[in-house]
Amino acid sequence: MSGTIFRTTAQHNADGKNEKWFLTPLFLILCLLAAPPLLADDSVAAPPADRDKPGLQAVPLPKTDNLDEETRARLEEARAQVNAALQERAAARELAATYGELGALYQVYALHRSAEQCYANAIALDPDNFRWNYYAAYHAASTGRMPLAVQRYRQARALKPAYKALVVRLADALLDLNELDSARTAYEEVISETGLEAAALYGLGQIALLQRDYETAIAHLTRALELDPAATRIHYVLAQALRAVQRTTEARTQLALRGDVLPAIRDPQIESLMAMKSGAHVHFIRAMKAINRHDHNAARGHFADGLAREPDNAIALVSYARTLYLTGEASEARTILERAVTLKPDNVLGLFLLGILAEEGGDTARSTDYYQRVLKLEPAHAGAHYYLGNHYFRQQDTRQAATHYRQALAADARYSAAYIPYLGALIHSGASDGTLLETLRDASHYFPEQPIYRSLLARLLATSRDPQIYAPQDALRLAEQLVEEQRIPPHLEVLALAFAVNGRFAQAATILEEALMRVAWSMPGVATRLGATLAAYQEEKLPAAEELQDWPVIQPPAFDGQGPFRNYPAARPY
Amino acid sequence: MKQDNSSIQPYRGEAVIRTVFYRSLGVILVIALGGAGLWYLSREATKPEAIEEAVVSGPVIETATPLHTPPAVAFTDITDEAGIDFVHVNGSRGEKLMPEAMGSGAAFLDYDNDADQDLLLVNATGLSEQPQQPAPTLALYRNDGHGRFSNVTEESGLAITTYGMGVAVGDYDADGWTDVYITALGENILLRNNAGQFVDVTAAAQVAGLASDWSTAATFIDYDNDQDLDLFVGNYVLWSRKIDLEIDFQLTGLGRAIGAPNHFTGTNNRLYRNEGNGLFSDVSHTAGIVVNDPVSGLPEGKALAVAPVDYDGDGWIDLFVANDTVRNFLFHNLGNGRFEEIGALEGIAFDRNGKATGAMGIDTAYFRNSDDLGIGIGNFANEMNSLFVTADGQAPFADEAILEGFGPASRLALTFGLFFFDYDLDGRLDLFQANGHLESEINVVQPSQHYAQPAQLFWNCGDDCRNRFLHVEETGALATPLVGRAAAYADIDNDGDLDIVITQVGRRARLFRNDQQLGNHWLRVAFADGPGAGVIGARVELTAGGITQRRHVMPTRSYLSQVELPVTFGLGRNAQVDRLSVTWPDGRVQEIPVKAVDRVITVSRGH
Repeated sequence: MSGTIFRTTAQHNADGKNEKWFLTPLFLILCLLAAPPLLADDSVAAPPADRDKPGLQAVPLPKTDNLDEETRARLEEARAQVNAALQERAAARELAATYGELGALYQVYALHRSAEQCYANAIALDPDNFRWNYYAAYHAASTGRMPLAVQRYRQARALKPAYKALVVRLADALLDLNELDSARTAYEEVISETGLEAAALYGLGQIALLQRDYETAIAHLTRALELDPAATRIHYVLAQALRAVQRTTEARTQLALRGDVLPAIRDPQIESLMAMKSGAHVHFIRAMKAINRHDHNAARGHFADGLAREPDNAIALVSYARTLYLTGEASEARTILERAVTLKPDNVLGLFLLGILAEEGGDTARSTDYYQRVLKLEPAHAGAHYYLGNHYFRQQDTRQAATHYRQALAADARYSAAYIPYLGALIHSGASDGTLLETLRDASHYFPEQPIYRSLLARLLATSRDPQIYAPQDALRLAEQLVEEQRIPPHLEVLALAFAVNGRFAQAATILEEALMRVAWSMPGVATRLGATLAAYQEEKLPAAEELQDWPVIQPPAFDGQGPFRNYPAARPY
Repeated sequence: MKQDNSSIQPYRGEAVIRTVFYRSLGVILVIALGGAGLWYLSREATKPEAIEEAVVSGPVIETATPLHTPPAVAFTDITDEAGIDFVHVNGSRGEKLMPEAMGSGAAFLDYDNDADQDLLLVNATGLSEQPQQPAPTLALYRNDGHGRFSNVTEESGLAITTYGMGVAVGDYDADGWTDVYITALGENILLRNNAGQFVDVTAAAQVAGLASDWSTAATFIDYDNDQDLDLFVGNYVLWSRKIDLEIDFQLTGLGRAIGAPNHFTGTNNRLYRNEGNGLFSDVSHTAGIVVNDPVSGLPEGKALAVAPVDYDGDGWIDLFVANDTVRNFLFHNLGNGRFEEIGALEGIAFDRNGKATGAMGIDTAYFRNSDDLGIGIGNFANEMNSLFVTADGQAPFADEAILEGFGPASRLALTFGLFFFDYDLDGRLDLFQANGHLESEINVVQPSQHYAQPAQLFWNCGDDCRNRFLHVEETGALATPLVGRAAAYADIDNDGDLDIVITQVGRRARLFRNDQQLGNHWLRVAFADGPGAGVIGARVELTAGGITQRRHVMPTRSYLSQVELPVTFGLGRNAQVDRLSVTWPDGRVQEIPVKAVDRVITVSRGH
């Protein structure tokens, strides 16, 4: 046909003109129209070399700005290897390996779109490679695509039926999809495999629990814990089973042991995958997890590992110093903090903690200097204000102390430690009852679970000489609430006072007698004071004014070095 | 000269061939052009609009018999025709601050006592020091009884600008008018309803909370059974712009991202006891709802939703609190003014693996029409939603989301609003969830995630089905991907079935009318006394065809939302009701005669 067309179009008529000249371009147009429509190219920009390989898709180039330098370099190197293999027209398996390695790196750093495409390319090039198929299955599972995960696990399993760790993961995915019988079969298949027993028993225990076969669940989960005592997550599931059969006390015991570690699965392939995640940040994240578990020793180790890779990370150095201090290495902590502030002179937290260490060592001039440096950088630093307030309070400069405490609370109204000494400083500096009232109301509002503030508020309302503030009935109401919550001597004392200022001396005396009986042996000093007050009530008199103002708790607080190292908030710990 | 015919014949043959060829060419050309045109036109027609579609994988559905197939129901987006022109303002200026992603709530309420459901939509505002212009406000829409709304925000006194989060409705002062409490990033607001005019009485009532609080869920309940409505307020995390920027949360591949709650300190919830005469007392500590970490002393909770229900039937209302990334709470009411937190012991604190989830929305229901209570919780992306269920009517709860088919289908979606309701009126409570991600660019790094996601509807197939909750594929306009947040239901057009509102963060709220035409019977029970202490917390039981259904009278459900006060029973093909009873919060049981179905019965206490 085409030969006829071209021969026909090539003919010239008797005049030498080619009357059929239009046929060739027409034919070409028809061929184009008959060709399949071009698909839109949806792929993200990628190295041009990818496009030379038909069947492969371009791998998106993700942003990696927030990763550490070492990790970025590894990703770039892995991607360069892919490009090199493409350009050298490497054999399919070799090219697949470069895609697979790059995909694994993307996966561990949660760059899922890029990981997915790498694995797809690797499998397209080397479909019988177990590792890429398995990683792709694991990736699907970890990104929540369970039906796809099951499909891929089955494909991978066909390639390597003897790899039993895969069976546990397949079972987990089947369980997730409510394929309980299939999941059970899979778990049972590996229940005797070394390194997989606990995970299999855990899965079987979960199935039994779902099916309300509680005794079986208890048996499986208990055995799983015996095999893997570090799998602290099992405690919670076991607690559920125990609770369901009314073994509530044992359930509570298990709940108290609950942790975050799932049963281990001995899986060299996935271990190898996870080991690809390195870099300083990985260690810092582990350190923070350890801190959340209150395991400062482990945190210290992880920070050290991370700093070995990023030795000039001033923020991480401060966090490391905190763990050193909390594990008994105060001197080393000081050295590290000094290095941190040398690297980053505006490191406010580092300077503050150095102040704490100096104060702990008795060098108040040095500590004051550090706190002042903090305030120059951050005028609203609650911690620096608080510790300066304490310093001045001990120096009996109560006005200066009150100023700093006020600023600490202005910066952070939840800085609970500051309220009591602030009140003390206010009282000793002759502040008005109005100021005291406002402070106590704030404290009660922010910390309703701390009765001390309501107790002091009740005292103030009962004893204030300011008629605008004196409110004996409100004082009584508050005191009654306090005693209802906790019938302890300080609350009883306040209640007695409230009765007395309301003219109910008999009741005041009765209540105070009870308080006195409770402290008579254990707190002789307090007992003496209460005894004198009781005598006044029995004569239907109020205690002397100065006694009323002898509020027992308003003294400069004892120095606390541990608190800031343990609890002072750091928005960015590394 | 005679021509040589042998040389002419080939030319004739070729002429025939040429003729045939030209004709064939013409036909081919016509066909090809026609085909190309058809292809081009059909490609244009199916080209997706410029909205992202979510790829949310469905459940593994076994081959269904006709009886086990969700009925065809269409929800129609009537936002425009209903007159709902509300657009949520989240104050985003590109800093990716956490509050920008959380959205705000919605409430159906009868604010003007005309027996239909009006709609209140909560709004936020700017987060920087410069005020947003024009100032966004809350929005109140009055229903004409037929599902058409008019904006009555100004005239009702609700043109209030605040960084609003959630809403609670209830008649706290027992004057017969529905009052409203708005939670916020900052101080909350109590609005007393004076015959259709709202007045800010927050200061007098002493229920503002702290300026540093980030309040979310709220509910009016009578926790101490003293016949007045008290107020529970859930608080989220300790947040400020400074803290958020310092933390500088990053997602690899995206850069700065919306902060994760596990980087922020938790806060404690508040319980306000109604003292009468418009005054409340903060009894949070004495009531035992303060939960602090025993080691650090810091608050543990990060509340986003609350579901009040008397789960143990002792006559005292309990509180289920959904916390984001930390354990959920169950505050068990001890009946003496105090609560005990026992979430872990009762099995609702964690998922089946003992892990805390990113819990956002919550609802409770007797979805099996048995004594077993179910607690549905909407969780984060790549976390199954939870469905905690009692066994034989007793705690502890077990997470049966997998067994009921709901879990696997909900895993990929990021769920906020969630509630039980009987959308097809067959007598079994179905499940609805509003979905939407936090990150507008999430699809760049996670191909299985999208910012806008379709809502999901799960049909309750009943006891005979292997998977009780079947994902409904055809839902009409409900399948449109949205950046969904709060969700609430009401019968806005008084046709017996339940319609839905979904709020979006930084976008327009959508109203969906239920256009089911399945012919099932129904009965709605309304309450003449309104949402006061004598009504909220009541339990309504209806028996028809041998099946007893139960409903709690409780507007607080879902995420930051309030549903309508009346309760709806689907009756399927049953044209009569065997028994209808109301157990009021004070324990009295009232039998209600039902003479006919497919109507609203209004009941009053003591009548």
